[in-house]
Amino acid sequence: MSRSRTEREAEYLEFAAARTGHLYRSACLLTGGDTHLAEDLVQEVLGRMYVLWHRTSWLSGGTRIDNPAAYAHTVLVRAFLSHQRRRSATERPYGELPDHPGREVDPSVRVTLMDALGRLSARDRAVLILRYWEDRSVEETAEAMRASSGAVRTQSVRALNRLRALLGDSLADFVRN
Amino acid sequence: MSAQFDMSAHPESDGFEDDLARSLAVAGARFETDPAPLISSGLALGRRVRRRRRRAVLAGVAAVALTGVVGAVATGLPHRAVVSPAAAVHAPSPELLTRDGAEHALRGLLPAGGRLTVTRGGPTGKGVDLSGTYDDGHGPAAVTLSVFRMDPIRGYPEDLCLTTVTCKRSKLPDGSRLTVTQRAATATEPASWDAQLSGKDGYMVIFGEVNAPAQLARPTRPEPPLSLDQLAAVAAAPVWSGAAMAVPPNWAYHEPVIPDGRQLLQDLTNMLPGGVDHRTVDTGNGYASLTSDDDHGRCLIEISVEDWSNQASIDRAPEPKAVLDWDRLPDGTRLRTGDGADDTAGQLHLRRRYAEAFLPDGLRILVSVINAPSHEQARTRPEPVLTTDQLKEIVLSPEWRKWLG
Repeated sequence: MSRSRTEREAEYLEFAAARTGHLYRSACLLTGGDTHLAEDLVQEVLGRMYVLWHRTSWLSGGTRIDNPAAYAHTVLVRAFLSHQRRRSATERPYGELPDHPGREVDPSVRVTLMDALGRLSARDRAVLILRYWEDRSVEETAEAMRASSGAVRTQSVRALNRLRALLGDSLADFVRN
Repeated sequence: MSAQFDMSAHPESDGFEDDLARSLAVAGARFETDPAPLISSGLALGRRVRRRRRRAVLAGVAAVALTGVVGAVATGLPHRAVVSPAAAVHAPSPELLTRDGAEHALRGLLPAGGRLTVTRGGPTGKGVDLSGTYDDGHGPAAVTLSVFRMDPIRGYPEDLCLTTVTCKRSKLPDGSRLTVTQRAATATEPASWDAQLSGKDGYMVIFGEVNAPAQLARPTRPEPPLSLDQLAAVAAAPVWSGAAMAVPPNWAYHEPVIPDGRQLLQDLTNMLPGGVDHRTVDTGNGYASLTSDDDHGRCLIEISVEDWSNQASIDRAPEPKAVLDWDRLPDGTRLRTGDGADDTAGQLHLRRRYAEAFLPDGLRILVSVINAPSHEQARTRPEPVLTTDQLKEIVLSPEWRKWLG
């Protein structure tokens, strides 16, 4: 019942074809809309998954990945955080908060959302993307970010407060429009 | 992407979180790209890494380290949790975890009139494996059974159902997940059908069959003997969950230690300079925070103690990748420190110092201090209340080792 190398390669390619789009979208949100960095991250993730894939099979004694799709996103978040750590503090363009954020319906509110995400720290952004885009539990988020559940809860509340201050009611308008 | 999430986890929700989830779904969906170049680049990168690793193995580089990793990989377990054959043999096992007990149970679950011949198998330490043949009168067919306990958090990979003729997934009333797959015969392998039951409490039952007397033999019959429903019934039989859950968890996997936050708070407080006003802020699993004021301004001090001993096996390395660039102390402890801007404080420009240690047994301790009572408040003083040396002394305290038992 073991699978040949060719079959695994085919499986990997099917997996990559099925998941790359979503990985890319997650990466874009994580990077605050930096599509070039998002592409770099997705390539890195696909490369790592390829290496793991060729060790994976059931009953053959290979490495066992728990839910490859979810694991790929964990790899993505870790690659992103690792990248941010390597960068010096260049990505903190914190300006003054708008006095009345998002009070008018902004047709480019998506840009506003991405801009607001970009103003958060990397870890704040990661915790929000994992919780509200990936729909991960606190515990799953903690594992992906290698933090405690308590730290994730605290960071989540803090990140939400910051985003709320940046966006005001504009999200509700965005959703309705 | 689903925008649903557990609102009970957000007691202070005012609709903003719901709006955020929906907004992210809408905003994210608008990022489109051609996946082909990304897949091509990822594939090339992955192949390069594999080639490099194979060369390294052939050259004998890191042979000792790999021995441990391969051992862990071969069992699918964290390397510290691998059960030695001796332990499996000498420890008392329920009857179902013996070869005879499992064989008897399996025979009772197969269709009447057929003949089961077990040729290999027995207790594995984390469960039991059997392999042999089943003949319903139309030709012997190889069958395999694997029952084992596993980490309920880490789980087991779902079959991706990519190269199958049939792949049916269902959730049983008790919350376990059942996947039944049919794989067609190839030029070198017979048709292969199997049922995998993943119990939510942390166990796995895999029962498979082929249409040949051995896994790689020439087919002797058009199809394997048991129907997909019969396969599923065997895998889902309650007898296997009972057997798997009878395995002590520490035989099957390493249960991560989760330090109690209140105890962490107490230990941390005991290590701080005396005569200072401390106030508790928060405690949780593996986490505690307090504020401290030495009459020069209140500061937030946070501690996080986590068991990363499984991380090394996840990263396929003797140590987690995250610690490889930290300093290494003579006893093998990894250590790093930092002093700079608090990157979670935004425009407040707070200063944060931290010390972080990773012990050889897998415990990671992080203590940090900022020059403000919280990440949302303005600074109360130019520098945090603790020096880097004081933070190092705290994270390197032998006190934390008690969590490793």
